[in-house]
Amino acid sequence: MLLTLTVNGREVSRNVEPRTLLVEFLRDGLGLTGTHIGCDTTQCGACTVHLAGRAVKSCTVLAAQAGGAEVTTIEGLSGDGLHPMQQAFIDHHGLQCGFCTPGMIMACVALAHEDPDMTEAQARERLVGNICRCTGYNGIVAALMDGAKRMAGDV
Amino acid sequence: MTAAPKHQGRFGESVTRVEDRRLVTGQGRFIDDLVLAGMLHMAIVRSDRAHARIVSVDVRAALEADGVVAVLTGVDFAASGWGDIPCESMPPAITKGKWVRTPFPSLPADRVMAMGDPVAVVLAETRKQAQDACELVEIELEDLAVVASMEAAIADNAPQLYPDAPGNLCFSAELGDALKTEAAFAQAAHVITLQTRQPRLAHASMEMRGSVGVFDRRLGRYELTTSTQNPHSVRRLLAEAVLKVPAHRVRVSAGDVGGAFGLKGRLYPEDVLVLWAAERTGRPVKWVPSRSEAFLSDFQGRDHMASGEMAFDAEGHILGLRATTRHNLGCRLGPATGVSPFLSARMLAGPYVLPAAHVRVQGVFSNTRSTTSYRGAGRPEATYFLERMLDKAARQLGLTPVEIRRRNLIPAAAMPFKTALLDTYDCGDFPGVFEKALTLADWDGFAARKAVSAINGLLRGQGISYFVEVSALSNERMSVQFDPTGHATVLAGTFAHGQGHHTLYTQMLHDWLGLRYEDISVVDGDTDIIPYGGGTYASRSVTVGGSALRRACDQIIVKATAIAANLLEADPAQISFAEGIFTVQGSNKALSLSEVARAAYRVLGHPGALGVGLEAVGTYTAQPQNYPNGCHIAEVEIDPDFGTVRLVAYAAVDDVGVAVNPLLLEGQLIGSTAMGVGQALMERVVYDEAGQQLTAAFTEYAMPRAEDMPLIISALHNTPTKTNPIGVKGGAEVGTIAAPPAIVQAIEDALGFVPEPALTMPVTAAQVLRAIHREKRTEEETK
Repeated sequence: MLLTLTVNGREVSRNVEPRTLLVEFLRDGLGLTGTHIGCDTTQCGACTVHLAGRAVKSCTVLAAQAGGAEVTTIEGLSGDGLHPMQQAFIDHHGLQCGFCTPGMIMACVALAHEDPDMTEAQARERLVGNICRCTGYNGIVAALMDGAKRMAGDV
Repeated sequence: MTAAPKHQGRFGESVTRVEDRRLVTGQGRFIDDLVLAGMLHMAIVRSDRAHARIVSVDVRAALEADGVVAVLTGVDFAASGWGDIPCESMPPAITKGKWVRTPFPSLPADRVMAMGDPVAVVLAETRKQAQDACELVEIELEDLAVVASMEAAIADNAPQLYPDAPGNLCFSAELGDALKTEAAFAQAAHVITLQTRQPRLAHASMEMRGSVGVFDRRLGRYELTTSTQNPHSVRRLLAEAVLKVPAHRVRVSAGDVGGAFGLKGRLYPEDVLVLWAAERTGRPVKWVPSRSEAFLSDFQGRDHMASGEMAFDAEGHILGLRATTRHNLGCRLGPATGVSPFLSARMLAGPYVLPAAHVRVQGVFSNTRSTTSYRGAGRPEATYFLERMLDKAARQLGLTPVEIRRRNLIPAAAMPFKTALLDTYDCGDFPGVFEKALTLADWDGFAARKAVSAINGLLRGQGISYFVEVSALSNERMSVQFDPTGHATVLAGTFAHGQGHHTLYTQMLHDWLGLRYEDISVVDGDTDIIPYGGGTYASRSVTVGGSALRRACDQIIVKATAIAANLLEADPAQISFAEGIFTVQGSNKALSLSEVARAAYRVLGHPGALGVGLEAVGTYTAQPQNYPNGCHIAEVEIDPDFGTVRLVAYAAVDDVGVAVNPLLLEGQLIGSTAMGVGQALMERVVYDEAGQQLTAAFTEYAMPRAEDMPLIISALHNTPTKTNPIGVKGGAEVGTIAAPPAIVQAIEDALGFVPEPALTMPVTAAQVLRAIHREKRTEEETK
C-alpha cells in the first residue's frame, strides 16, 4: 500500500506492507535510525516519537495508522543547534550508552509540554514508560525537570 | 552532584561528555543501524525444548519461501570444519587443569541442550522474509531427560549431561588452608552457618546483541561488525579457535554499543554464524534478534549458591571461614564462564581480618543457557554471603551490625594485608570508609525516621554492607599518535560502550600534554586500526587504560623534548615542558607541542636520527592488581498490607583511589546501584522444571524504572593505589556488589524478625507478605 505522511516537516511517500510498524517505516524505509528498538512488548520506550504532537511508542503503531499525520523523530527535534532537553541530558549526565536516549528525550519533551513544573516524585512516576539500564535514572530525572524549565523559558 | 560540570576540564574535574552530542541527536551508530549493499538478513530457528536429540531438520518448504536465499543446518555447519567456541577462563593455578571441556559448535547438529539453542538459520533478502521462513522449517526432536536448575543437577541420581562429568560437575577446586581453618574452628566460641542464593539474571542491555558478517573474497578476510565489549578478544577467538587462520585475516569492529554489563564480553555463536553464512552466500549477512530471542540466546549471569560456616571468638572476632560456593554454568562453557566462580571464591577473603579460610568452588552443568560475567562477576556473590553472615552473627552474638563490622574490618595500619586466600590488599582505609558512610547515611538518626514512617503505617529498616573487590584485570596498550597537522589521536585498547572513556582520555591528554579538547580524538573498537587491546569489563579501563596512557604521554614528552631541543637549538636538559609548551630555561624561546609534532614530520630542519613523526605506545600490566572498596547503606519502607518494599534512601562511600571525573564516576555508582536494586527486589530469570524459560520479555522480567530508585547520596574516601602510575582503582561495579546485601538486611530490619524460610532474592512483595502472615500466625499460635 502507498503511504504518505509528514516526517520531520517533510512529506514522504513509500510503498509499504500493511503490517509494517511505524518504527520499521522510520528506520528501514527512511533511514532514520535514531529511533531505536529495545523490546517487542511496548515496555522500554526506546522507540518513542511524536505522532500528531503526542509521544507514542512507534513499535506499537502501524505505519498505516500514521498516514497523513505529522511525525517528529529525534532527528527532527532541533535544527542546527540542540533542543533544550537535549542540552539538559548532556548537562546532567542523563545518558551513558545512549541507546534509550532518543526515546527518553522524546518522552521527556512531551512530558515537559504537559507540565513544565513537575516535582521530582512526579518526574519519576511519569518516566514509567521508558527503561534505562545504565544511568539509574537520577541524571534523567534531573534532565527532565531542568529541561522542562528551560523549554518554558524559565532559565 | 554539587558543582555544575564543565564542558572541558582537567583530570579530576567533573566534565560533561564529548560523546553525548551525537547520541542525543540520534546520530549514534548502533549495530542495527548498519546497512550494507546486498546485505542478507539471518533469522534463527531455535529449539523450544531444553534437552533433545535432533532427529531431522527439513528445510525444503522454507527454501521455497519468498526472498529466501539459503537455509542452513547443524549438519552443514559440522561439514564446514569451523571450530568450537572455547572456554578460556578456568584459572590453571586453581583448577590444575581439571575441568570438563564441553563441545560448543555455533550450530549444533546432534543435540540441543537448552531452550533457545539454534537448530537452523534462514538467510533472506529482508528480515521479515527470514523470520517468516523460520516457521516453515520442520524440526523433529527426541526429548532427553532435563536438569533445569542447579538444585536438580546436583541431586542424587540426576540425569548426567556429559559422560565425563559425574554429578554434572564441571570442576571442584579448593582454595585456602584446610588444616589451619580446622584449627581455627576448634577454638571458636560461636559458629554461624549460612546458605545464600543468587538469582539468575539477564543483563538486558537496552541494545540487544547483533552482528554483521562480511567475507572479502578478494583478500580472503573475514570482517565482523558486532555489538561487543571486547573486539580484540572476539578476533582472537575467531582466528585461533573457530577459523584457525592468522589474526590478520580477521577484522572485528564495533560502533556504538548500547550497554553490555558483561553480556557482550566475548565471542557468541551468532558472530560465527554471520561470517559462515557470509562466506557461503558471498553476501554480507546481518543478525539482530528480537528482545525475546535475546532473552533466550544471551548468556546469563549469577545463579549461585554458597553455604558454609564462620567461626568467631567470644568477643565477635572472626577466626575462620569454611564455605562451598557453587555456580550454575548452564549447558556449555562460554569463553568467560569461569570468571565469576573463581572470583567469587577468591573474594570470600572479604574486607575483614580473616585468619583462616578454606573454600571449595564448584561449577555445575544444567539445561539452561550458559552463564557468564554479570557486572561485578563473583564479587557480588562473595559479598552477599559474607555480609549476610555478619548480619546473622551479629544477631546471634548480641552485637549491632555496626559493632560486628567495627571489630573485624582490616585496619588501615595493617596494609598491605595478605588475605587467607589469594590476594594481598595493597592499601585502603576500610574503617575510615565505614565511619564516613555511617555519618553520610545518618545511621544514628534512624530512629526518628523510623518513627515518621510508622506514623504513615510503614515499616522502616536500615541495612549496611561493606565490600572489597579486585580491579585492573589483564594488561593494556594505548598509543598516542600525532598527525602531520599537529593533532593527537589516542588509539585505545579498551573499548567504551557507555562509560565515557573518550571524555576521560581527552581529560588526561588535555591535562598531561596541555592539548585543547578540539585537538584530541579517541579511537577504539577496530582491530584493523588498533593492534592489541583488552576491551572493557570488570572496572578495568580507567585503571589499566589510563595507566598505559599516562606512560604513552610521558614518552611523548621525552621524544618531543628531543625534537624541540633541536628546533630551539638548545640542550635537551635546558628544555622544560608545561601546559603544552616547551621552553628553553632562561630564555623566551618556546614552541607548542603541536608545533613540535608538525615539525617531526618535516624533512627540512628535522634530522632523521630523531625519527619521523611523533607517537608513543604505553603499556601497563597490573602486577599486583588493586582493590576498590566501599560501604553502602540502604533504607527501605515496607507497606505491611501489601508487602511492597520501597528503597527510600541510599548512601554510598567508596574508595576508588582517584576520581578522574566525579560526574561520570557518580553515574557508574548510581547505574550499578540500580542493577543491584533490580537483583535484590525484582530480577530473576525463571526456568520451569522442563527447562522452559518463562522470562523472555520485559513484561516478564522486571527491571528498575525511575520511580524505583531513590536519590543516592555519595562521597569518596580515597586511598590512591601505588600499584599504578595514576593511583586509580576501579569504580564501575560498586552498586551491583554492595546494594543487594544492604537492601535485604534493611528489609529484615524493617520487618523486625528474621523470616523462616530466609528471604531469597529477588525479595518480591509476595515473599514479604507471606513472611508477615507467617509471623502473625506464629505469634497467634504462641499466645
